[in-house]
Amino acid sequence: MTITRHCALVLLCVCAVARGEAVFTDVTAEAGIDFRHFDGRNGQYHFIETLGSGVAWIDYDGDGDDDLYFVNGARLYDTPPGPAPTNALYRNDGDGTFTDVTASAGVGHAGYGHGACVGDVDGDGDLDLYVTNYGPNALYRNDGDGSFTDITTAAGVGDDAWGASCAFADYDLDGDLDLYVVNYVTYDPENEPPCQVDGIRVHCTPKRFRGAADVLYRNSGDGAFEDVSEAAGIANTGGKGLGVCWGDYDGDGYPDAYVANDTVENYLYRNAGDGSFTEEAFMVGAALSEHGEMESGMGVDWGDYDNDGLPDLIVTNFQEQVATLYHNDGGGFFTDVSYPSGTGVHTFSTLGWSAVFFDYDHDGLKDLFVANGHIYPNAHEVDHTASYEQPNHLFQGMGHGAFEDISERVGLSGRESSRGAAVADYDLDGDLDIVVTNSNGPARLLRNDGGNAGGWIQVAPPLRLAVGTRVEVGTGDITQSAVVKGGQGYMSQGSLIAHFGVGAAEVIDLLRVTFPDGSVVVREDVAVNQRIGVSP
Amino acid sequence: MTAPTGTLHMSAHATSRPLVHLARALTVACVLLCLGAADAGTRRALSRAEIALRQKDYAEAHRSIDEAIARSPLHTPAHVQLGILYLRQGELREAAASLTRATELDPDSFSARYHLGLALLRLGDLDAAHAAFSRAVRLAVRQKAEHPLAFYHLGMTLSRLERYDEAADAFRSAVDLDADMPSPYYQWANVELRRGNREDGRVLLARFRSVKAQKRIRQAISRARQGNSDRALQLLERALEMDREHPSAFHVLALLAFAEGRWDDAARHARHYVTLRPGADDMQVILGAALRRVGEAGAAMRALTSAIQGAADHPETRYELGEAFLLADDAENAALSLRQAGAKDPTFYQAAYRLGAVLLDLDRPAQAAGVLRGAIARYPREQAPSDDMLYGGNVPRLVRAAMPAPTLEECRLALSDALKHAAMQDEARP
Repeated sequence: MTITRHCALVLLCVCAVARGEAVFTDVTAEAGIDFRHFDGRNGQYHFIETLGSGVAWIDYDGDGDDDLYFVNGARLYDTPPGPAPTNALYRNDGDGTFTDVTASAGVGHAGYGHGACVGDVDGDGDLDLYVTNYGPNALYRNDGDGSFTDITTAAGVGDDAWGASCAFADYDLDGDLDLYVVNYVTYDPENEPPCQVDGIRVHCTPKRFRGAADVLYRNSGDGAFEDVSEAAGIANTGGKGLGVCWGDYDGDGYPDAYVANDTVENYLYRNAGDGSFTEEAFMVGAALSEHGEMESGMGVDWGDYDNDGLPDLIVTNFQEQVATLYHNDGGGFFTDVSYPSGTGVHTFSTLGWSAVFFDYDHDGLKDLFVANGHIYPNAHEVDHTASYEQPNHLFQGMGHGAFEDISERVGLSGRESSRGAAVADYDLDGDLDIVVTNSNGPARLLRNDGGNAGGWIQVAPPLRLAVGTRVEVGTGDITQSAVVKGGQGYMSQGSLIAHFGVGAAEVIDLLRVTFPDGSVVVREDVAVNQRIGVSP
Repeated sequence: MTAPTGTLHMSAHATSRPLVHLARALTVACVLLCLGAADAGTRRALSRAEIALRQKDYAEAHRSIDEAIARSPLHTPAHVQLGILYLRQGELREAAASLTRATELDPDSFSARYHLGLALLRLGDLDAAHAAFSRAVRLAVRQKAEHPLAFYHLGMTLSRLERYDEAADAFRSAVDLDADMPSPYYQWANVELRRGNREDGRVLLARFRSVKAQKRIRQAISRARQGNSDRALQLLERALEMDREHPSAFHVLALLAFAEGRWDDAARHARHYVTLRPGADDMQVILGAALRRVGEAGAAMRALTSAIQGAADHPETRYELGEAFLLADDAENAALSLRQAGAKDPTFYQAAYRLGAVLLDLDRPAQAAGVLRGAIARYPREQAPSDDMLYGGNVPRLVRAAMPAPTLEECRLALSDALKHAAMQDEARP
């Protein structure tokens, strides 16, 4: 049965390639990536085991290709003794393979890790790394020689609540990167209640725990950060945050933060521009499902999928909720278009985590990848329609706000319990590849084969200024836009190079790059199929 | 001659043709009726489908509905059921097709129109969805059936069509039919905000939060009554996540904590409640009773006095005030309060027993013996505890249930002790 199914899938992929369509090929092993997530499970159903961890693309050595950083769990107090799992950094060797350089780079954090985000916090031109943990988080300064130094204490960013996702942005537009850390709930694995569903022992849900307040660190510009959560108005203990992503939804030039909260309402912090934020999610229609239900927010990404110049939102949720696609209507309002867009019917039956907008096939329309997997390893015992391992989704943007599920067609029908995901053109062939982490399982590197058939352009801002840079690409009547993000999806980080597919266009009519400091660079008649560096 | 015959013949022929038509029509109608009517087998198949749907066994649901349709191809409910099954499975086009078929078979089927509207709305065919929901709403009104959800989804569709005035009317109708359904408030608020009515939007959002919280509070009360206080507490916390200052949540939290003897929590929640609802005299009783149990005599006396001055001058309040006086080493006032408690309810044997003890301490054994005799005389034959740990929200009963309940034997021993002391006092008297 499995063999038959496998053959059918291979046939599907072969047919897709024959039709000239892009497919994703699992190249994890041949790329030399052997990272395996460890959640410490030992049959005791600890709540912490359900979250998994994220992954970050980080060009740590500044050689132009993205390297990979995986975050790992750890042994719990009652996990039988054994080797201590650590986070891992894989250097991209530029030939399609990677080398584990964790030890020499000094980033093998052994805490119970979850998320990672990347940005140049000290403005020295190389990328630094922030890691969230159950326990104190860590900030690694890139020393520029292939190694990092843990500067958590000096920088004052070692928040010790249960950190999930993190995201850099220069929210106060003072020229340096600030940091939003999403905290989940207050929790102690040594003192948690036993939970059941219909008499079956399962992991608890966050409903059993109190929310933990998020933290906003303002970069003082002198190597230290200041916790401004209270003053900024984001220290809200009602949240049970898992995902965060910065995006300027109202186009006022100040980045706003969207926080995906688990089982409680989501938050949209509108940046007032004076250092404070107001929580607007309820007022703009982006806090709940279309019917006013609180959902289990996991991951979040901003992306202008309909090329109207306004960033839209995808928020992943639990099974039998849908991954909510909020269309940015302009005027400060969002509409839940999950069903009309075609994503709702497919995401209803899966439990989503990381979500990423990206144009996999270079047709000029953003597609959507969603990593899926249940939280209960015994999900099928609780609900016969559920399973721990689930296929991930790739939704192809069809234009006019519609998406089509093409997961099987592009070779994404394998079932694992995925969590983190992020995209980058790691092999520099002009199309975007995907890396996925799996809960208590091996990570997967999925190479995009054939995505580069259409035209493309990659815009590389200086690393110092990359996060928050907005890029607009005009071809014919279409203007696409994207912002380089310092953290997105679920606990993950994508490439800091803006990437656009432009279909059959032979030239970019207009390229407009707006840097976080407000400076703008405009170029006309730019050749396609190239990566260009743009500096203010 | 022939003409009349012919005429007659013609006439007979003319008469027989409509009859034949009528007979044919009746036959067709009969066949249609037979095919459209559900026989027992069809009904059984649809019941099985309904159960399978509930159990998410879609394959079985499909089989059963197919069987029902095979038996009665014109039976509208079978096609509606098939449409609902497709809706559940996310096969929206198939759902729309089945439900359209159902509306053709029975243009007056509310369920067919309503579910067709759902399928079309999800497909993003707003005009068609609008037509379906409008018809569903008209049918509901005509059939004098209350279908707030039809109005709600009509409002959703109108809102998507940016016909905000009509959308607001539809949401208002939904709320008029079911004020406890939260969703219409949420969408209505959204419509008002989009129309620039920020204040109305805020008020509706607050109402949405409150209704949503209230729903959870009701669930919590129900769980508490079933003895599942853990689940009740979770639901109350969830209610507060939606509406952080919902008074009813604090009310139930205080009662639940009191019932479980978590005095600190009870005092905290009761204090929060009386801050939100200053005239809540019964909650002052809970507050006072909880505070005196954690040793805060002064604050307890203030709360209980406030309750007595208000509308909560219950025997139990007096009893608790007596205990608070005792905590403050004021036995005289304690005795007074306990006596007042007994006076208000002569069957209040706990108050009598406690008063007896206080009087003994005050060296008034004869008075104590009299009071204790009363306690024994009125000792209840059977004490049936309530199944509901919250006593239906009846504060005096809840407070009384938290009081120590001396056994009859203990009452007799206390009386014997009082009588001994009284006798000794008599002997000592010159």
